[in-house]
Amino acid sequence: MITYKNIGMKYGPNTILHDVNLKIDDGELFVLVGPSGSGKTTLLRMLNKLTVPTDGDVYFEDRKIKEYDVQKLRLDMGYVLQDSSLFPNLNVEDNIAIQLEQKGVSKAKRHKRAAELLESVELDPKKYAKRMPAELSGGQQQRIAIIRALATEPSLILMDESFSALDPVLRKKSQDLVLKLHKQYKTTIVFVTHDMQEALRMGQRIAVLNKGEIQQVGTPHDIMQHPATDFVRQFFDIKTPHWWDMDFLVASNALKKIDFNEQLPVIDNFKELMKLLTQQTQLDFQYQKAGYSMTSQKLLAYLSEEGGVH
Amino acid sequence: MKVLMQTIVEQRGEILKSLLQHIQISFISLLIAMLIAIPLAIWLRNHRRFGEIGLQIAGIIQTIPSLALLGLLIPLVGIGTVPAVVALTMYAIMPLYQNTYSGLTNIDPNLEEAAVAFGLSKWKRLQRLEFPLALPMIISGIRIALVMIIGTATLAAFIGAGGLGDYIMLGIQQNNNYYLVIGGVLSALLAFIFSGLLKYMGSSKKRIYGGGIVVLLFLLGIGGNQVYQAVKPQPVNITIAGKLGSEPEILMNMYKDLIQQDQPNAHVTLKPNFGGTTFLFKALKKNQVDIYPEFTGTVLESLVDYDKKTPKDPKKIYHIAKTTLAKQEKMTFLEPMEYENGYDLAVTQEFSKKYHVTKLSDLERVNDKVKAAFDPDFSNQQDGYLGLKKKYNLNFSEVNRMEPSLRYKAIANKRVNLVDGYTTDPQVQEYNLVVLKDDKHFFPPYQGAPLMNSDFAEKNPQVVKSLNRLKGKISVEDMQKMNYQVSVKNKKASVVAHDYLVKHNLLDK
Repeated sequence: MITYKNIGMKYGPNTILHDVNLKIDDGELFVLVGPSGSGKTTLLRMLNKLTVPTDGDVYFEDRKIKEYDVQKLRLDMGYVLQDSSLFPNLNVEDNIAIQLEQKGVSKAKRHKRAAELLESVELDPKKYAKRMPAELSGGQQQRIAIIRALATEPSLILMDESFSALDPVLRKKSQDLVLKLHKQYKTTIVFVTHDMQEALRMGQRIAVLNKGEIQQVGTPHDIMQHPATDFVRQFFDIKTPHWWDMDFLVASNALKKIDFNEQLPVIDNFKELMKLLTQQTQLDFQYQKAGYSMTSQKLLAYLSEEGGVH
Repeated sequence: MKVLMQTIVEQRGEILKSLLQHIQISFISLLIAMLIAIPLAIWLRNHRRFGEIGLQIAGIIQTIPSLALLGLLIPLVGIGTVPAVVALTMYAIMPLYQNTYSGLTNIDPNLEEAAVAFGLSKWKRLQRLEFPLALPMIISGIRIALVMIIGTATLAAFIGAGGLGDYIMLGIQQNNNYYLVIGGVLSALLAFIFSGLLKYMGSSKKRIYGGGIVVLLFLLGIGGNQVYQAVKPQPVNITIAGKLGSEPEILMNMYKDLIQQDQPNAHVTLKPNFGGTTFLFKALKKNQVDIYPEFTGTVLESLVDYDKKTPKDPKKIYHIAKTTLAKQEKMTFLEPMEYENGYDLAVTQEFSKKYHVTKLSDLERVNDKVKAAFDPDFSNQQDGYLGLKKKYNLNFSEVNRMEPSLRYKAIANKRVNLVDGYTTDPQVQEYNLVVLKDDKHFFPPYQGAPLMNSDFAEKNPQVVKSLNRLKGKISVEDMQKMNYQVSVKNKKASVVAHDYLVKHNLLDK
């Protein structure tokens, strides 16, 4: 469990953070979201002591972070940066196992662990373990960066704008991968992003920050339904409702999955779907190479549930 | 071309020795510089302010002309290999430090942050990330340093460190282009080959390790050899040095032959073309050399405090020089040889005919027509141009200072029309010059004799005895002939010296 207690951060006359109180539960995928300069990255960096708060204390497993041995603390945390930040001079295996190497784990064990992790992201260890980062595609690099954070089986993984530099397709894939791995390993993940779509997609709970202050903490649903401040409402652009997003629809349980078939009509966005469903009561379609079925009744139910926003 | 090949074949032993010496000096300097510069850069990379200061200092050292730096080091560390290695090391530090420093400080900050956030220790970060990423820069620094060292090491010959510079210096001294070619081409080739090797090594990790092992073995070899040299029983060690030019080298070889005939176990090291007069004299004072041939007149003019007028009688000069040296410097000046060697002034045939100049007193008339080239020693000494000016009322329109052999080249190429020289110089004959008569007897006669410290003479009476055999030997003609053989005909000084000694029954074989 992570607890931020009365955290303040000042650089000279500038206040970066003001009286932040926050609890993050074990096993949670927690998102810190806010525009640039809101202090979200500063909050994250307090967890691995890259930044030390000027006021208040951060607790990790009921101990003040500042009381931890910094190296030990960091070795037990995964970290994924904005670009993959793979060490260009080390091969994939050595990159993945770098923290284990520092911990003094034997070479054979490191090799085994790297192979395990590579398999978990569908990269053949025989093929990829000895490759250099430059020989990988951007997506593969990002996958390696993610599993590198898992190498020591850490209890906490920090992700700092990890997917911001990726193109939309890769970003979605990476998000899916993290969601999948999170389900699998139940590791606590603190995820920083400035992208509200990403925040809604990833976060079990979300903390919205602006100008060094927490605006709201809650589930995506809470935030969408009951934005606590005008800032939150504006930031999440609630005029275009979140349920307008096809991905959100797919993630909800409103759609019935059916077998994929090339013949199915292709639907790209929510508007098309609505239009077609005004003409027929039931529609089978494909979206991003998957088959779905939807009835107008289900659509209405979905809208009544999600659309209750003022 | 034929002569060049012949020179190479004749001197292959010496050439190889110079080459190895060159490589040795260069490598030792490079390694020391690496041991200093790379850890320094690693240490200072996290203290940027000091790091930048380090860059400035290294840059300043780089701008000191190499010859000046070598000169500055002599009072501190003496002569020979040590100052050469020190100077070369100082030069090499700059590119090594600069490249290592910028290699380490220009690493992507994201990677650095990742490494820190992963909890990697400083050492791990250096070993696994920073050093490998900076390595290409460091290797290019090593290449730059090595090429520079190999080039600059040719100057080390001027302070007696040997190497290929010996050939370049000899080439300039004796106006011998073949020596120049040998020294120049070999050092260029050396730089080229080693630079290529380093590039090849730097292209893969395995090769870097391989290269490291080779260098290590090489070092062990040098170290082992040094230890062996230090441990093996030492016979009498005598170092004989000489000034620039063929004549001192011939004399030194005679000394060596004579000493070794009487003491076969004596280990005599020759350091020909060791340097100018004051440099040699200082080296003798500091016991860095044991013996060198010096002239009686030079002793009075430049080496001891003697404010009276230099007498004209050679015997008197020798006597005063000997007693003054013994009193002021605790040095022993052995008996001189027969030939008298002194300064003279020589002009071209053309000049002599055009202005009817045959003696020094004729020069006053044509002061404005004279373009002179003088040896730097000559132009500065009271027994040289300074005194000559007063005596003959001279004031030449142009006076150039240059190295002894260059000045003959200058007159041969008609760049000047008057030079100073020694009576035994072979170039007078070679370039068909006219030696002007010293009609007012300004130049004191100079006689050559071995000079050594008195305590050395006391400890080595046998050496004194051996060298005294040259007393009253060697006429002016003999010396001129021998000089001609060496500097014009490119014969080896050791051979010419040996032949003379055998011919005159001073040596058994």
